Amino acid sequence: MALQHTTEIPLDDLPKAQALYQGLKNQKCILMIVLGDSKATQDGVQIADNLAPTSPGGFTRKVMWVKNHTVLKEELEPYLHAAEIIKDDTPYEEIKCFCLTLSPRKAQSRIHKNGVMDYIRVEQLYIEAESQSL
Amino acid sequence: MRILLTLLLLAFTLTTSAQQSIITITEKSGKKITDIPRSGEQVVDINSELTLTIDKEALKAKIVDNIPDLQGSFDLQTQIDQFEAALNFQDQVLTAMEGNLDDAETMDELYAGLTGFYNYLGRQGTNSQIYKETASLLNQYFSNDVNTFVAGQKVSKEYYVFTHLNEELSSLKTELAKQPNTSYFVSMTAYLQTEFGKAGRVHIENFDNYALQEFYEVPRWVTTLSADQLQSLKEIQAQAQANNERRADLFEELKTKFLAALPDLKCAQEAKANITAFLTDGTVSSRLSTAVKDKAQELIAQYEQIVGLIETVKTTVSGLSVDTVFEIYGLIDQVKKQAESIKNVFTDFDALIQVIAGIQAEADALTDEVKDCIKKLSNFGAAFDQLVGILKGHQVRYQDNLELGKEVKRFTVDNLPAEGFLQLKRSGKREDGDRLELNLLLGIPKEGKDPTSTNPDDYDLIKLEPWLLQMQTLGFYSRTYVGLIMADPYNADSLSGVEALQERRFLYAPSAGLLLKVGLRNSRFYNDFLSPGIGISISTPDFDTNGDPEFGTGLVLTAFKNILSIGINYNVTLDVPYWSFGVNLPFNLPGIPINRPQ
Repeated sequence: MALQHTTEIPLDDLPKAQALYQGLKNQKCILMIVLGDSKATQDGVQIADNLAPTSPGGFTRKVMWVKNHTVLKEELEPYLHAAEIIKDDTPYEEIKCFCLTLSPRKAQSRIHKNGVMDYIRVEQLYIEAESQSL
Repeated sequence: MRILLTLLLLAFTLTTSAQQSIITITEKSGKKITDIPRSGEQVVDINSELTLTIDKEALKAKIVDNIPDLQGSFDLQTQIDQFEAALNFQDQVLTAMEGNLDDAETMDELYAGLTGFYNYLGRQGTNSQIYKETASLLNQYFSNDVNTFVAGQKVSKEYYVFTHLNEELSSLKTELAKQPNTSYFVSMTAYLQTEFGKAGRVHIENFDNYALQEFYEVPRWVTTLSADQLQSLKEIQAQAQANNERRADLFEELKTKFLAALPDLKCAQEAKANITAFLTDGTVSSRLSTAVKDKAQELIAQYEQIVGLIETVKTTVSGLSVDTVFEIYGLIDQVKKQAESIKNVFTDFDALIQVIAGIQAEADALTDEVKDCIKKLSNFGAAFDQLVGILKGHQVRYQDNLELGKEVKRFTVDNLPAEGFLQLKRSGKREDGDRLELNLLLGIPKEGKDPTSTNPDDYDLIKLEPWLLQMQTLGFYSRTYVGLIMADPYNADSLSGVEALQERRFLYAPSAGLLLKVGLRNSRFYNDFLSPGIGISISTPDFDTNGDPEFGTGLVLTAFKNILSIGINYNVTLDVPYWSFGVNLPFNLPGIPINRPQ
């Protein structure tokens, strides 16, 4: 199924990647960020995309998919540090998914790369970010 | 190697899970909260409050071990509980979604409900039925299941999920209703065992309706020793001592007394023979009417019945063990009724023969003999009541306190309170080292019996988790004691006018002291056996043997619960130092004036 609410970040064009990220960041939307390109992650992106238009509170939801943990690391990692999600035993490379609130952008929790990215967990991340955006 | 490690890990896991306790005990003493592990020494502060928390999942597992039929019901009930808990949020969510989402309060409500719902699912885990079902419903929703459309409009995923969870909940309840109706109950009891030999039920809030005992706080700092208190303790100790010595054989001894108290069958048999002889006596027989003869035959039959009953009682009592269900009450009633019936029949018979002319002498003789026997039977009835009361009371104590009175509440897993509370200060008089026995019991009504019956014959009781707590004053505390010491002065030769000491080295002297002791939470051996103390003592030796005791004082060390004491003292009156020791065993030997210190 096509991804209708997801922006794929190019891995070979950093300026474009940064521009796309800035564009999404500046939009008034709840922003789900998915990292990696495993099969489970691809399925997870589809789930996040499916859930995007179903916000029960009417929030706009968007998905940003970065297929590796290198591109935009400098931009994204601080959110996880600020939320104390990244710790000694959980580096950036072990994060699969997290969700940013409306402005000011911040993350609350995440899905670990070994974690399940199913409808419940992804929706839970959306709900968490939305409730923090009220 | 890997297999070995796996096996070791598995064994460890199994052991750990086997040791998982159903009850968690938390002690509150002042402001301090302490967990009491079941695998530890189970020592609690003697004046504390205990909170007993029940792990229902562990309880269910234990119940299923005993009643495997309940596994299906428990699994379904767990799922129902999960569905109901998750659906608790549906009204909040759906009502808010139908409301004005521009309203901040409505949005707060909506997201509080959604957060509660998804967090609950997260806590149950991906393997729980509620999680799997919800995940499956969301998958269906996004697969454009036809049911996601109502009147051509796609419903919200929240409406879709909640609606279908409700349907599933109904199915689970229908399924539960089809499960076999296995009856059981769970109760919890507490029982105080004191060194005085006394014991009694202790109230557990939420689990029984027993009354709280009189408030009694075991003092931490004891500094006085009253004569009344000492006397009282001595009497109690003597009673406990006598009880302890007899305890093992008491039941058998009572049974022997019981059997000895049964009426002599000779009386009944002779009475029967005398009536028969009366009927066949040539001079009497011809004068008796048919009614008198019939009444006499009735009396003989009554005697034969009571002889049979008494034989049955003897056999039953001889076969009773302390654990068997007491079945003698019914028999006793029969014997007493039979004795009463004999008395009535004989009164009728006596009235008939007394009016027959010419047999007055024979009738009077018979009346005296039979009346005597009837009196013996009546007395026996009273003796029965007394002895059976003792026997029954003794048996109840030995039945390990399992009999449940109507005061003990009965629960199933669904309505079982999560916590029980027990105030040791309201558990009755007790002292350091006394025990508190807690029992979590599973009752299984016997087939065909009333599940609510309080008759112990109507159900089987299984101890799911017994605890035997030791109550102890923890930390530093003081106790007074008295005992007998053997005193040996250092420079006996220097004492003028002391002749007795030339012939014997030690003299007895009464002693009393104030000891500082320590109670430990992590060692029953220390509390029960070592229990050392250090303190000051006073004694009244009579070194000059003039009949007037002198005054001595010094330091004393005690051990083994004050059985052994050793001290260094000073005889102030005679200006003589002496050392002393005492061996105050907790029993008396004939001729030796040694007793346990108080």
